[in-house]
Amino acid sequence: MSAHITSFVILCHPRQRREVRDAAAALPGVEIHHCGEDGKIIALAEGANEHAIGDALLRLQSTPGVIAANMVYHGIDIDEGEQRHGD
Amino acid sequence: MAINQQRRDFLKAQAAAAAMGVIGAPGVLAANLNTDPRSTQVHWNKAPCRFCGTGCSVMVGVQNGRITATHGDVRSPVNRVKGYFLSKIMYGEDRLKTPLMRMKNGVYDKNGEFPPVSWERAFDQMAYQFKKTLHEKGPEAVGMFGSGQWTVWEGYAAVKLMKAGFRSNNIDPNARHCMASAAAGFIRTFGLDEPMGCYDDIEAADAFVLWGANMAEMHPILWTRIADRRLSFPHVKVAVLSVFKNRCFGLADIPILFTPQGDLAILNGIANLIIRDGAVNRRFVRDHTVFRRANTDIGYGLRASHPRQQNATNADRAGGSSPMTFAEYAEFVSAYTPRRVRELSGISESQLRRLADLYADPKIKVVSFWTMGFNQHTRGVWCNHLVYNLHLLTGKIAEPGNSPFSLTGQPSACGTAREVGTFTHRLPADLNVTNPAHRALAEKIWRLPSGIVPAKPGYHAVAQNRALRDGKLNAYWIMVNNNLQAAANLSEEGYPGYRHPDNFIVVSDAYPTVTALAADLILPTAMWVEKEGAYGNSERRTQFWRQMVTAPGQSRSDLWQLMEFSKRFTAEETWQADILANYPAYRGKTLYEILFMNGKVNRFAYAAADEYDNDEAAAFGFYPQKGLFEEYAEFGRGKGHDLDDFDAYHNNRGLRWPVVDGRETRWRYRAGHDPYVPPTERGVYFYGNADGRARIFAAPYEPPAESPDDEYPFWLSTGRVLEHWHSGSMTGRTPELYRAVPHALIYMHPDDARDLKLHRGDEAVVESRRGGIHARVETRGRNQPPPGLVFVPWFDAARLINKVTLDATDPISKQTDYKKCAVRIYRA
Repeated sequence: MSAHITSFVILCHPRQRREVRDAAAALPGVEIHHCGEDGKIIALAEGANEHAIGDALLRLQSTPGVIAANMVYHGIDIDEGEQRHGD
Repeated sequence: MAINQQRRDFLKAQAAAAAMGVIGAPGVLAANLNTDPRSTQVHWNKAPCRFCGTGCSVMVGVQNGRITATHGDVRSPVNRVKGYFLSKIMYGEDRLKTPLMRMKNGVYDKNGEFPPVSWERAFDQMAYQFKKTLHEKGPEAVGMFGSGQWTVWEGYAAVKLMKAGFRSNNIDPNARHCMASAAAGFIRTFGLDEPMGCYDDIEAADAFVLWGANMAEMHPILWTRIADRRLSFPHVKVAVLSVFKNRCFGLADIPILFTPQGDLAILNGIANLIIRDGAVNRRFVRDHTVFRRANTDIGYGLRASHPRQQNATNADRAGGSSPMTFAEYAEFVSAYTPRRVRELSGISESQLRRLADLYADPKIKVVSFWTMGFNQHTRGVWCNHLVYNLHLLTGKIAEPGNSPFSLTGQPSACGTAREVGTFTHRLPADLNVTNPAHRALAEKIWRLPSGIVPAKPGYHAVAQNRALRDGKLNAYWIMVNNNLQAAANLSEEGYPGYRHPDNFIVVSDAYPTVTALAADLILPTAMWVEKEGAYGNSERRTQFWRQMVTAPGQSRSDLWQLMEFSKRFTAEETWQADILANYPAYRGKTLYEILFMNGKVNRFAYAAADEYDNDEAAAFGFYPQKGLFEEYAEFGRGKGHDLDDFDAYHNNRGLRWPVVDGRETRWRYRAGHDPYVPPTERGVYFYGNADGRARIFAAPYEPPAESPDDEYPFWLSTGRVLEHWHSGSMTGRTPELYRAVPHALIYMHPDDARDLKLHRGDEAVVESRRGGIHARVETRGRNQPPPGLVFVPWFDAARLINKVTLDATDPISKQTDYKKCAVRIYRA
């Protein structure tokens, strides 16, 4: 199975950072890497395909308090057997 | 499993480090994350992002010939990037891999199916059709529609092929739909195109005013910078103006909803308050500006037979103006009292006051941002003028933090469409085909006979569709865009034009878009990092990338297609006999030899072959990207458009022109920043105009081309949503994006829905005098229209909202107004 690994930078109102952090952490496949007092949160998301990650990103963007949520990194760990098959 | 886990942990560490780098978190080195390639077998290289006009630099990771990773480029000044599944745009299942031509019984047939054909066969038929048209009807019956997604050299090669090779000015880009009003506004105001400021203005500003720009969705990276500035510095204010509530309102200190077209009144109302308050920077105005009264009642860029055109006094003199004094200007805007502004725009007097204070207070540095809300407007050029007026009256311009800033929607709307000049009336570096000296310069640089470039502008984008419809434009090549879906009024103009029996339509694309499927010949195209490229972003930054992977199947780049196709024409077939009589040396030569083997384009050998493939260099035996770029750069060097040496851009993260002695320019027209400001000048000097002054244009409120009435009681506004960049021809095939917003929705106010007995999720019809579509009703979510207005995105190929829109344009810029027409809505 291939895996998709991504990171997001989330910017929120600093006073709402804990709620945003908790809401983000509750999303499937999402873990919080950093939550700064300045309202900048870094989340990592892992999923079997882009669907899960795209959904997570959109849910982050519509979480109350979130001003912006952007994907910074997207990597695919391609399983070698699958890659031969795919190519 | 252990190795898998190790690898994934490693990727996660990279992902985290990339994000930490972006937020400037302590402990992270400002270096990229290439790390040890042996641990991942990923080869990394830089490229500008393929989406939007921001021009973020990304790092692209290639593993076994395939892109497997992207991340924001920590070393780039424009780095807070969405790695928004960039790689996936190239790997859609329906990616085109071979030319397809409509055929019946083995021969071309306009009503045939689309079997695969060879490039040879495709170009045979295409050349036959272009030659037939040139022979029977002349150069005015051939045309090309290009793009702000062309690379710089692709746009440049296309301009040469059309304007010099075929001697036709019928070339225009989709950027016409996107920022033609901005370009016209710049040239009329400052004498030169493109912004004076740059993104660095964001970190220096005290206030931001968004005029019809949903930056949270359309320019998310710049929006993040604005939000960061706002949240880090409590004195900073954000004003958001829109005709419906969008995600930007979440950060707005001054949220303002206004009636469509009311922006003209608001802008004049602010100017009036600035003057009334005595907040005019009199010295700046005296030293750096002159006043002009714009012609009024200029029509709506509709067909000449339309009553609204016939009734317009100045439809033929839309761009005209006459001199006026400051006192006359003050008198002109004095009609825009807060009360009148309220009547025309719906905004309260206190909202107008708060907005005016941002501009009037000399201590507040203010950046105005705008995109489609201003530009896609039947008075779009006026809107651009009116916002410059605010910055010019107060002297808040061309210095850090004080910046009127026109944003673009496409990655190279500036770099290719505007700077190369792929518009019907333009030549590179702001030159114009109507100016004999400009044509002569182009002919000299191109080593061509005098008189080759035609003097008369051809069909602009909207006129092209009308000419196709009327059977006047017959051989037509569309590259890197989805214009059948994108252009307004497609049922009455676009579609019948493409399917007109006299017309031969060629579409070069990577995917079978709506446009491709309505064409007669489809050419499969290499995209993004499948070729060497260059883009120019909204802040004048030119950025290069290498070819990193190989395009699938028989896909070839637009550059290869343009150059290879030119081999099939001789000068005798495209140029008039008298030209060849005067210049016999060109006899018997092909356009390829004339345009590309001219001793300039072909003068560089490709040297980096060991490290990076370059399919075009391999095909032609020289380094065409470098030769084209260096020839193109001759137009601008020494004239305020200086580009650096070709090789430099492969080694840097882009530079903002003018680049003189290797140094970029962050603030144009400002002494100490811009090397073109004469040493005798202090402060600002607008050298684009011969008198060194910017123009303040007086332009009034005039009504839109169509407004709601009893029969069609709703405003329709169209636009994008984040998940679907432009027409969705790329992002629509990226499954996760498609799934996020699977179909276009009708965003409407819950009260309107209730009155129409519609519920959220119901199927409804949106219908204008021109056509209708079915879509589902949405009454919640990020886009929340006020009562009386509906918003429908235009990305959905199954719900073509441009059947409904009106092809009214700004009469000066010829840009379509996609934001205002009248519709009715009822249950499907």
